[in-house]
Amino acid sequence: MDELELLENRLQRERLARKQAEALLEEKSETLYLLNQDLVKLAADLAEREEASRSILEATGDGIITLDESGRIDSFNRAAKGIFGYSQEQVVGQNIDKLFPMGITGEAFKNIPHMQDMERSGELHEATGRRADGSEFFMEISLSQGQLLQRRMIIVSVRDITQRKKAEEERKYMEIQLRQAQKLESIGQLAAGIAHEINTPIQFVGDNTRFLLDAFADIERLLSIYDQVLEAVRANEITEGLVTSVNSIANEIDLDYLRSEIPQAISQTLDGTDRVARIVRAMKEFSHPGDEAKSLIDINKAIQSTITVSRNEWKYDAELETDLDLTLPTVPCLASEFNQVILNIIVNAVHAIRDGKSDDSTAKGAILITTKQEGDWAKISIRDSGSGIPEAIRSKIFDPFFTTKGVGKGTGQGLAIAYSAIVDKHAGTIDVQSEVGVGTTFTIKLPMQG
Amino acid sequence: MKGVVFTEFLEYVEECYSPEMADKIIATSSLCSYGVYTSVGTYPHQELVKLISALSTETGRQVPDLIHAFGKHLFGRLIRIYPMFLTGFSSSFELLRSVQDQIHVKVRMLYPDAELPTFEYQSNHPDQLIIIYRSKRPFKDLAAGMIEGCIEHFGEAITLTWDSSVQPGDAGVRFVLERKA
Ligand SMILES: Nc1ncnc2c1ncn2[C@@H]1O[C@H](COP(=O)(O)OP(=O)(O)OP(=O)(O)O)[C@@H](O)[C@H]1O
Ligand SMILES: [Mg+2]
Repeated sequence: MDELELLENRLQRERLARKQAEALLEEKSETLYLLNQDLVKLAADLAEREEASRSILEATGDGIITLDESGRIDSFNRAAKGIFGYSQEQVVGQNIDKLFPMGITGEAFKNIPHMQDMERSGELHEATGRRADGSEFFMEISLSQGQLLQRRMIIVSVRDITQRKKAEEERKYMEIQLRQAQKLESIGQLAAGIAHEINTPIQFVGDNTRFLLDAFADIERLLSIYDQVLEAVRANEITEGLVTSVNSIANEIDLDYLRSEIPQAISQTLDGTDRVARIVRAMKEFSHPGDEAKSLIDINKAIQSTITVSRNEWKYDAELETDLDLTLPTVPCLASEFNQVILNIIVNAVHAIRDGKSDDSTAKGAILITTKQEGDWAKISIRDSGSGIPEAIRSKIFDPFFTTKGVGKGTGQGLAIAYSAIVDKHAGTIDVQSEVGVGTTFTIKLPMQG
Repeated sequence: MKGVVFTEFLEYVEECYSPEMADKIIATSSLCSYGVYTSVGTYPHQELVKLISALSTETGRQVPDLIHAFGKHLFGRLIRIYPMFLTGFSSSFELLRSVQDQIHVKVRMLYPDAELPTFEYQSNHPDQLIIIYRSKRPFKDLAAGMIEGCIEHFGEAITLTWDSSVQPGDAGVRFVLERKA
């Protein structure tokens, strides 16, 4: 092979190799161009998506704050600006504690799920926030997290609940007012009954006193003739006529009758005043004005006075009996609340008895109130022979405003008040057992150690 | 197989033997490429096998010896063409340990479709390095030559041994490098 041929071969190969390389280069360039196109489009898509996310973030009513793992603020959306009164520049890079004086780092951050656990979204916590002007407010926050490429992002979503808290407090206040109203209403109703109860003894006290006044006028006549007799005896001039006058006056005024009636009238009068005094005392005990703290009270006595003041409510419809455990120790109790509960249950019992009675029947129903010590509890049960509570509504009777009574007859508050008084305020229990057509028993248990 | 291996091989033959030898083995190997290679292209590795077999026939030297010798030469050439792969390494162990996670990664940036062998490292002694080499192609001699080229480059006293029995059923080759005391 000669030199020239060899060189030609090599040259040929080199030329072809160069063309090959050029073709490869073109191919690569095209691939690059296409890749670049894709990238441009991808970047535009990303920008659009980013814009969409940002708009959502800015539009949402909740404040959204993102933090890095050390609790430094990364971003702060518009609602957050509105809530806290800071601009983005004022808080980005700062620690989240700036916004939470009590520090959510303690309680709330403790619950941040572990890094790997990305699925978990945050529960709601209540926290106190601090605005740029230093004022503090209630808020609800929830924490969640997102995994970015290199790091974890903590997302704090914040809602100002000052308004809601205020509404809640207003509602609570209204409830208290309403309860007060119910109590006043029942006292008003009781007052009518009590007036009636007091009227009867007052009437016969009056009658008897008038009788005593008349009787005394008669006796006065007799006494003046006795004076004359006394004088005549002293002068030793007693006459037959004088004795006859005495006899005739005694006859006229019916002395025998007076002698037997006057002591009776006096004791009846005393009875009457006693009765009035008892009712007044019961009334006082029932309403127990102004005791806000628990004191040790005699449950039996409290029940007795409630029965007394409510007598007019039940006496036409029921025989009310008691079976009280007189050895029951005193129980720490809010007396007026407790009395109100017993009254509400008695009134319900009377309504149920009326409800269960056939129109023509005159037979009275029965209410039995018993007290008993059961371990560390004082147990009070109130049984009635009323219409009973259908199974279907038994779970609702303690709900506020649940009533089966017509407009103007019941507001559905009696048992709701009873429940909150016994369960919330005394840490006791209240239960009901009932059979339709047979009757109902409410059982209250109060802890003897307050 | 990357074109640079082919272009380097032909240059190597021209230098060590003669341009005529290169021309001859191309002519006798009946290659699809007709011996036209560019370093940025990719060609079937069987062409290299054919060229080396032809060289063996022409020279009477064993194929493994030829590949081994070329490997050694190739290492020296590659570090001249791609000096950036060397920077920061002061020993063959360091450089070899970087093959899998650094050098091959860079090769892939340039040639995403390159089919590279894998290197797995084992060692329980600072003076020993074990490399488990796996490749789809029968070029363990090329690898051995290149490793030797590397040792030579750093001028180190290291013995290289290898065997093919990594594990039963495993086609890998185990290279053991031991620094001489
Ligand atoms: N002893 C009872 N027997 C039968 N039903 C009862 C009895 N006590 C309560 N209920 C039922 O439970 C409902 C709720 O009672 P609750 O005392 O809370 O409200 P109310 O009596 O309807 O109204 P309020 O007590 O405010 O005047 C009653 O409407 C009635 O249907
Ligand atoms: Mg009621």
